[in-house]
Amino acid sequence: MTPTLARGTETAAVTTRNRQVTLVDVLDRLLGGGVVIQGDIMLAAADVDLVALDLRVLVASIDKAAGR
Amino acid sequence: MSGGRWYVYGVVDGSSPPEIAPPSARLVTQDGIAAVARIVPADDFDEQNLPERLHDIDWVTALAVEHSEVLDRMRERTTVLPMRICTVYRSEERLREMLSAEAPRLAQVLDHLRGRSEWGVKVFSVRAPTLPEREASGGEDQAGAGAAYLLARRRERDQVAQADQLIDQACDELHELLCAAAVEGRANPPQRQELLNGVYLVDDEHADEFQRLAREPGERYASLGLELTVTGPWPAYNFVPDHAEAAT
Repeated sequence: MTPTLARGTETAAVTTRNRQVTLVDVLDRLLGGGVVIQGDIMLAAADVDLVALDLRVLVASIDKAAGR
Repeated sequence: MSGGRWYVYGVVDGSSPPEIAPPSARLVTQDGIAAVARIVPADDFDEQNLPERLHDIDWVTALAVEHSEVLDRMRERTTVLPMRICTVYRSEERLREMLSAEAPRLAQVLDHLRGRSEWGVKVFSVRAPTLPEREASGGEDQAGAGAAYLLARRRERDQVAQADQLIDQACDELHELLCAAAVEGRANPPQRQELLNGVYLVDDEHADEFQRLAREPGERYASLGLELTVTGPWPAYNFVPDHAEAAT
């Protein structure tokens, strides 16, 4: 493997991981933060919990793939 | 029922809203408050269909990313107050009714957030801490191999406990330091390998200094097997009053 390729691969891995970290941060903020105002249609607390649960499974699989 | 629903990303000050809303989003201004909203298909956002959509993690993720990108673009231009994901109204009229009813409270929160942004600082444990190497003393040689082994094990255990204590202390100190540099700070429950999941509301004029403070202990943390991430600036997702909590 040439140094150039190695560096490129590393950068790609870091970029992907940063994106994953950011995605988790985004999801945490959107599911757990923000103003809760009575809308006509909104997520019930139980629904939010369900999504959060699905999210944990997703993140666990990302962590596993990234070897963390 | 056919037609669209009004999905609200967040609200901004309606007296001086930014000239351009992000593409596909529009501003609905009522009583001095402007909602950043988009018309979405009723098929996706009705009581019957929404719960089903929520099980599609790709759908939720795409929505979350879009929601966050719309607010990021607004945040570059003005103070934005984010709404919880999936806040939807049946009509523009219903949306205006909400704005009208909530205007005083929303204006108050917007005032509090003006010129400030949220930053996230997380500390992760990514590997075991590096323990200091110990030289074998003369005493161990005399004590024999078995005793020396037990002694070595006990020292290792003590060192691990000591490292754990150092790690806890490092996280506490960092959080305290960042809270002092911020308008408000909070440690959210850590998830996964996180040891600190801190969120901070920071004056924009002090953002550079805050980042410097947050990143400074990097080297000390490396020997403890810790990794630190700083994210931001975010719209203030974590620094808005929780309506549901306030109502109970």
